Amino acid sequence: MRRRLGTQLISAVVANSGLAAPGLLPGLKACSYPFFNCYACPLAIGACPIGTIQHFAIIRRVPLLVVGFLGVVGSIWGRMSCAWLCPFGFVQDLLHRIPWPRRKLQVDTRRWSWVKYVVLAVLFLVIPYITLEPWFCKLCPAGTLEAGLPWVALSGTLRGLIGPIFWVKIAILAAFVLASVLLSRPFCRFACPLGATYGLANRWSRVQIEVDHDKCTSCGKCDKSCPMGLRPYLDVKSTDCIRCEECLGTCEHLKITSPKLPLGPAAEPARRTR
Amino acid sequence: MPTPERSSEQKRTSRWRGWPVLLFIGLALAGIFGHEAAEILLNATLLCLSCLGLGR
Repeated sequence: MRRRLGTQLISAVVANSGLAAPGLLPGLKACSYPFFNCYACPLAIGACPIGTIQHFAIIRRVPLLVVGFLGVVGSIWGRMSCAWLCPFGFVQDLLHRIPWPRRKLQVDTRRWSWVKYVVLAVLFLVIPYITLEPWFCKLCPAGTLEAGLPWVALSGTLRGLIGPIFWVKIAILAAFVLASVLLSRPFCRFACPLGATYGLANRWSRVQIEVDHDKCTSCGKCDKSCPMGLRPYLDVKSTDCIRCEECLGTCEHLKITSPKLPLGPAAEPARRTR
Repeated sequence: MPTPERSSEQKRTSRWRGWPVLLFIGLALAGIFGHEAAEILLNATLLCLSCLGLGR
């Protein structure tokens, strides 16, 4: 867990290090992040893949470059970047570590995971295509946290332009912040269109988690460690698995497999992480 | 000593599975040659006020 938090922190800092490399900033924004990070953030150095795809939906073009890039990342690692790189996932992980006086919620993600595909199809693709407005960005809680709030805090001019949608954004962010304290990664489970896209690639990605079904006793220890509320021994290729490797530390019958090269011949046992 | 025959499971896992990566690399290259990087850069650089919930 500590190793993952460290990686997430480094990723969040690098993704938003605009002040450290102002000369490089304009050029880097032609490249998409492999994770969710608002490009309107005052310190962002790259482009948000979700905002970019939505922009292409509005201008009625297929974003081949971003789709290809996300496809390559997903086909190699699946949803791994959600667990190890995404700054908004990092914020949710930190929020969930806040102690809560009552028992925190345990929700079986599989029952509700279809919601993020509705968000992906409707709010992210169909409505922007029809209305020519980036409605997912308008409501995105990550955008509010990383761009809306910093810009309003930094600029008096922008503060004067606050409209009703801003307060809707704040309410959505507040709801996800509270939900993150009670439930691990609610945005990733039920709303993230990028996670939904990467999740599809979990089925064929080169990096996989495998269960030794001959030795698994279905004791359920791995369930308790899963931040996505999954049962790893039932479906390790689940579209909701973020490859965080938390379950590997609880059971010796789970292992992560990856090919030596992304295009190599076969997935083979690579390492055990405890 | 005779070589043990490979099971169907082993044959399946050893099948080359790198084709999705190649497919998506092709898509990305098509995007690069279609000058999509300039469009991405322009979109990412301009600050969209309505996306921030600012303005009407």
